Amino acid sequence: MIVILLRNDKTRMILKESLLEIFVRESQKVGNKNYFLTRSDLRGMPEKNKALFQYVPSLNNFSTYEISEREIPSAMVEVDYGIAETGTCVIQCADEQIRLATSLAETLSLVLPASRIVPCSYDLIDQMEEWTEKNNYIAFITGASRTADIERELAIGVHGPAELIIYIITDL
Amino acid sequence: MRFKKKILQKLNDEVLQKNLTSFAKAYKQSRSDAFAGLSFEELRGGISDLKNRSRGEIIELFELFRRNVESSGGKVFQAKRIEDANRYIEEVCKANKAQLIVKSKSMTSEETRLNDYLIKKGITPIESDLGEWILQLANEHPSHMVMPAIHKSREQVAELFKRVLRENVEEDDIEGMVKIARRKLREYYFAAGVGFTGANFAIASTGTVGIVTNEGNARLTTTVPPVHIVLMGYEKLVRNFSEAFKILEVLPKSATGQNISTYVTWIKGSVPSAKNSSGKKEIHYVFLDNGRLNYFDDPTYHEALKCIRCGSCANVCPVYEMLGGHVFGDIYVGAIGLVKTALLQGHRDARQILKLCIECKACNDFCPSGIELQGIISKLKMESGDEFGIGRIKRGIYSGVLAKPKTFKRAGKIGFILQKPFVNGDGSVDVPFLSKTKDFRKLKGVQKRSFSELYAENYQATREDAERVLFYPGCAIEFVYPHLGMKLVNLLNGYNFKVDVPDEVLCCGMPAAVSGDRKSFSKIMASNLSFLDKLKKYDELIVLCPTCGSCLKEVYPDFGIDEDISGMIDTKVVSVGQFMTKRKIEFEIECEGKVTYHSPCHQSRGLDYSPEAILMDNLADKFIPLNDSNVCCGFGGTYSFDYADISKGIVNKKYKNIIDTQAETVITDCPGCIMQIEGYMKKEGSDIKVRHLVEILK
Repeated sequence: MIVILLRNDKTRMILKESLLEIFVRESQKVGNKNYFLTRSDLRGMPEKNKALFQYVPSLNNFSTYEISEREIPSAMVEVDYGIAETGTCVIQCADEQIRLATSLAETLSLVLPASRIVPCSYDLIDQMEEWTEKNNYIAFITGASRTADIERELAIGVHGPAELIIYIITDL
Repeated sequence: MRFKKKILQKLNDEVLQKNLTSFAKAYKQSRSDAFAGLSFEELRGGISDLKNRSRGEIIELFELFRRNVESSGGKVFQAKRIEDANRYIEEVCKANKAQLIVKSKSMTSEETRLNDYLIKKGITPIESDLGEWILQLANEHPSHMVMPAIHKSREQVAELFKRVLRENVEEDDIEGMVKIARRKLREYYFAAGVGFTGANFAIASTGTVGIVTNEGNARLTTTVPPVHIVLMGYEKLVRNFSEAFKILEVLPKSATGQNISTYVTWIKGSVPSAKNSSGKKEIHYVFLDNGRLNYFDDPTYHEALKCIRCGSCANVCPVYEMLGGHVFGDIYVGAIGLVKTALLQGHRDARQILKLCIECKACNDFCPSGIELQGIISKLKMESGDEFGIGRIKRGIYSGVLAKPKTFKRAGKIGFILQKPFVNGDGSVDVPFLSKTKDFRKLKGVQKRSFSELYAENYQATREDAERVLFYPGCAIEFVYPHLGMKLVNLLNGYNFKVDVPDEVLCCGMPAAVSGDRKSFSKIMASNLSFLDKLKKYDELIVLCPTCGSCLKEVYPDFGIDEDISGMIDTKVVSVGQFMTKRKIEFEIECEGKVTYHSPCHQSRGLDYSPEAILMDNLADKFIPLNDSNVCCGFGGTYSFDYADISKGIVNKKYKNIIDTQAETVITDCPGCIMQIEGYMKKEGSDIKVRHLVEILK
């Protein structure tokens, strides 16, 4: 499969990989775990593996968790888009619970429908303009919370998630 | 503390030296990996264009931004001065009864010294970026815009946590330190009455701000507290998401070599907030002027407002690498820090740090907004020289000697006689009265017979029917390396060219220019103009000193010479390698053993040329590429005397890279670099030869 990344109406790059492959490669580069699942796989996930806070509208899957001050062990949230070029997940999250869950969870699972992966950020320009016509909060998340502020040594989980898992839903 | 003492303190700070050296190396690699396959020139051209805005256009964007956020529940405040911004932020805190304000990293709040102000007013600011928090605990300010605590070691952080937080952590356990930070800082997000951030983008089309972080602290800062204050300069305004994404594409690559930063947060207006009794976030946007608005219409200085704060100008600066941002900069650091200090705080604060720029132009090469930082710094040095003077000795030499060719020639003769008692067997000179720290090289002395004397004799032998080319020797060839000039004359004679030289010119003026001596520079330039007029008759002007070449080519046009002449110089100035290539001369290279090449700053970045490819073709596996070949050797003319300790530190790194190649000869293209590198290696007892390219061409 050949993917053409279009930017500013000029062809800039032709990649001989699928969007999915690019996304996973970039996402793995920053240490994320990526899994391919079908909708029914995700539905059939054992209870013990399920996150305490869940917001997955495509599967009609909602479970709220009383986010106490400071802590939430796990959260699973469906995202609106994936950006292949950078392995980024894009979430519209004006809803405060989603913002808190995704910023505080020790382990964050993001559910990304495979059909929602776009080649690069420029493909989302119109969507971003439209989303921000109203009050909004949009997060680009590319990995776990990280810092290299002490001797440039990479350390994970400095404020937010210490682990990022991405479930790519192949039939969605 | 006196400035020179501060410099020495940094040079002797082992932690700083170790951290900055390893960072400089790692940064260049990861940055170049991040840009692999992309055209950096094209990308930065795009950013430079989109950021090219007049004051009128910025205000138009601001008004659009304001309308958009005000209709979405936000409040906008325009702070003319620092105090206005701080007072407004204080009032918002007090109106919300906030005693604690949690901050995500903001360089603009460093500019306003917001933390000091709030503490005086009884409000506690907490920095949530790990590096900034460490510095807050240590009562220091950032030494780098992206990695604020780069000057600290893990041991120092462990000690700090123990002393200030009473938290015990092993001094090697960075993970443990990060866990402490997570635990401590998380409490603050929930206790704070106000969350404070800067912004990387203020998008006018919809009134959205964009904030880029790796740690995710901005997400918590903007989510948990009931109030959010954004502080930013007007230069953060962009028209729409298309522009913001163009900047976002290069910012993380230039800053840390990442493809994208972990979190990019886009906020439009007031969003739900459970902690606010209204159920909605109270959001304030503070736009800081502090002098910047005036610069949008300035023909030179508006460039500085294109900065996207990636820090790359510090990351690639050889002087920053020696000193760090506490000396090489002020609030903002690196090359842009020198510029911003002068523009926003005034020349009194900037006069000493401006002189630290060695003018190697590395920053220009890497700036993702295409800012010609070094050119701006030179201009500011001139202004600073106008205001504070440059010192009587320098002025006397530049104006009384360099600007007068006859006097300069006489001074060369006198120099030769005076140096006699100090000349060593190897031809090097022990400069009298030079303090021990400045004496880190064996300097080659003034030669008995100058280039112009040798040339006058050789001139007779030249074939009259040959095509004429013009050669500009400059002072180093004239007095110290006349044999290089003669080699060029003979080489080109052999290829049937007749080499002419200007009769009366010796100095291009660069020493006066880099010292900020406008008067002397103008005099010297004027004396050069008469010969430059003759350039019409020639197709090339050959230089063996690329500093002369880049001075004629790049500095003269800034001082108002005729466009005809500057256009002519621009197309005609060439180094010897460029000339041979341009004329398609098939030359041979004569050199024993393994060879490496040091690329002089003013050739690689002034004349945009390097013969490395030719050397590689000709010498095959005898040619060993030099790591950091085009990084400055630390010479910088008088810089190496004024700041000998810095110069020595830089040349030492060059020396180590040369040793690593195991080459027996270093080729370069600049008499200044030869003086520095050869002088240092001789002093270190090395027998590696340093030669000018012209010496090995046959």
